Amino acid sequence: MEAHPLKETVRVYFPVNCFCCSWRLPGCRPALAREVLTMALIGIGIILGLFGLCFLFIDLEERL
Amino acid sequence: MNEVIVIYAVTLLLAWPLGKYIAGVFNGTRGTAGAVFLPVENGLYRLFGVNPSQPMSWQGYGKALLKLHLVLVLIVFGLLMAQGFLFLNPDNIDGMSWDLALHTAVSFLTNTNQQHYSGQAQLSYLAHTFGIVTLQVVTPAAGMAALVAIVRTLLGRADEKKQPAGDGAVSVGNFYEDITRAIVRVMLPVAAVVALIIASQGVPNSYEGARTAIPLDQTAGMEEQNIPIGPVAPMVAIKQVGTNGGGWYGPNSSVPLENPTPVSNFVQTVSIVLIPAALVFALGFMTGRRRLAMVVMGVMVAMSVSLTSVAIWSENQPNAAFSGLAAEGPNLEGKEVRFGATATALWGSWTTQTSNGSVNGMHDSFNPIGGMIPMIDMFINVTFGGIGVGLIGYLLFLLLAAFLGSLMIGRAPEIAGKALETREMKLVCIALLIQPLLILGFSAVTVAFPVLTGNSNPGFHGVSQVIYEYTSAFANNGSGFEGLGDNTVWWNVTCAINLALGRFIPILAPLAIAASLAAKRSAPEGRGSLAIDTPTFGLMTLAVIVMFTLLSFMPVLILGPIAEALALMS
Repeated sequence: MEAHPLKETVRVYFPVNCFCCSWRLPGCRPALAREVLTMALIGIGIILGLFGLCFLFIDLEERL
Repeated sequence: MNEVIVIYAVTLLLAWPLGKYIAGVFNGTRGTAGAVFLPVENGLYRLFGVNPSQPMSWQGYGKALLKLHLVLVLIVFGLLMAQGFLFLNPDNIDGMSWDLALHTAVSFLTNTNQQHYSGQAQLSYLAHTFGIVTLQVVTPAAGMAALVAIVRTLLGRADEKKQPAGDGAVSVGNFYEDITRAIVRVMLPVAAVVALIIASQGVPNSYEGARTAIPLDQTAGMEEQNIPIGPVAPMVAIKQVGTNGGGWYGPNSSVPLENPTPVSNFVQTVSIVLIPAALVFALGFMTGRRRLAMVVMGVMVAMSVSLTSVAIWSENQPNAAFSGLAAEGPNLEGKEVRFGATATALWGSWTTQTSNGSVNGMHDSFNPIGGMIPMIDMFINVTFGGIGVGLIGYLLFLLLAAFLGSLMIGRAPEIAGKALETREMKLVCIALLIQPLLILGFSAVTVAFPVLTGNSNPGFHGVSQVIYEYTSAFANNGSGFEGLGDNTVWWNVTCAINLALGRFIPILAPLAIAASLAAKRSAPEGRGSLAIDTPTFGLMTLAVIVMFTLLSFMPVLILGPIAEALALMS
């Protein structure tokens, strides 16, 4: 049986109901939302970490 | 070959008046342009609630630059993940995965435009026009603003008084004023002219959805074909003039829709180098040191011509697979026959000399030596370089050359009458050495674990693919050896680290150096001073650039393209 397209993308895409038939992963929405939120937070965390390094560089320069 | 000479000549001839205009923009020269643009700028200052006349220390300037970029990257990151829900999405394109959104947002934020996705298939019109194109306008302007701040602080006119900023620190200018002028008076007008020219050549410019066509030849089993269009012309214009490089379509400027005619190819090629070259002339006009600007231009043109010549020669050699056949000719694998080997090699060389990264052919398919030239261009990264950051990088080498040159002739190191001391040289070293550290470090880890690599060639060419990707990320270039399967969490995250640190540390460190030098007492420049505007010093700087690049990267060049060339010869 061919997998529903969302099953292929569920781990990588923002949680969406299927755009054509509004199909939703049965019973998995809270877990899915948690997973996506976690992924988004990891991305934001990496961005903040990289910018934190740059801000830190400005403040550390005085010690050179 | 004649077309190459003409393109070089036209670019440099256009860069001269543009450089004079840019210097006038930042020197506050009042004129017709000022009368037209000032009301727009004042409106923007009021809208964002900033005071453009407030002097900033280098820390204040750097933090303002970082804050603006942080806000932009968070907005674009969210936009890319959520584009599937949002409007201006007639082709129902889904949101991006978190790691791809992270890489894409940081890539465009850093003026790199490295793409691990295919634009026409994975970005909505909203994400393209309001996310990507916004960054393509703002980020080169930020580079230009940083350059202007550094130049006016480091080499400003002797009669220019430094205003104290707050606690008596040296003022480097006002970030908001600089970036607004760069956007309103330089980036947008130049991009608008280029957009009109290429739109007249047939580049699409529409918000309608994809067109459907029925192929004449259906033997391949394709009964109909979707042809994505959109507001392509403005994006392609800013992609070229802003040393951005990220195209609307996956294959970039090799697609007829993005680069339809010889005229569009000519205009786009010139646009790649135009503003970076103009900024070198602007350096002379801004500081009154025109001899210095000519020496810098001489060094850059010498590097550009010599590297481009090798690329053109290499791509006019046969592909090794055709060796000995009657069909032997220039290497046309991965090239548009409309452009041919010479124009593609010229583009490949210029796009990597300027941190642009757009392509009109596949660099992965260049002959080994031809593929090595874009890599060397990106290792050097100051042959014109990206808007602002290229010349900033050159100034770092200039400081290093002044330091070494002074020591070689037994003088206390100084530049423009200011003593070069430990603190400044530590910052120069940090800004220069972070490049080989990140590129070689990440490449070593990636090559050591084949599961991470995802490349299509396991041999020497595979090493080149990995090195190229990280070099392109750090150099904020964006082009790729596209045989690499690079849309993975590993590639996306590690490239994002290279992108961000390769952008901001080489901007912030020179800003700190400039402020540090400006705060020192100035010794009058006399016969005993080290002259930095002579051909001899230009040659010294060139030698430092070449030595630094070879010492850092010769081993990987031998492991990659040189070994591949030797293997094919044998």
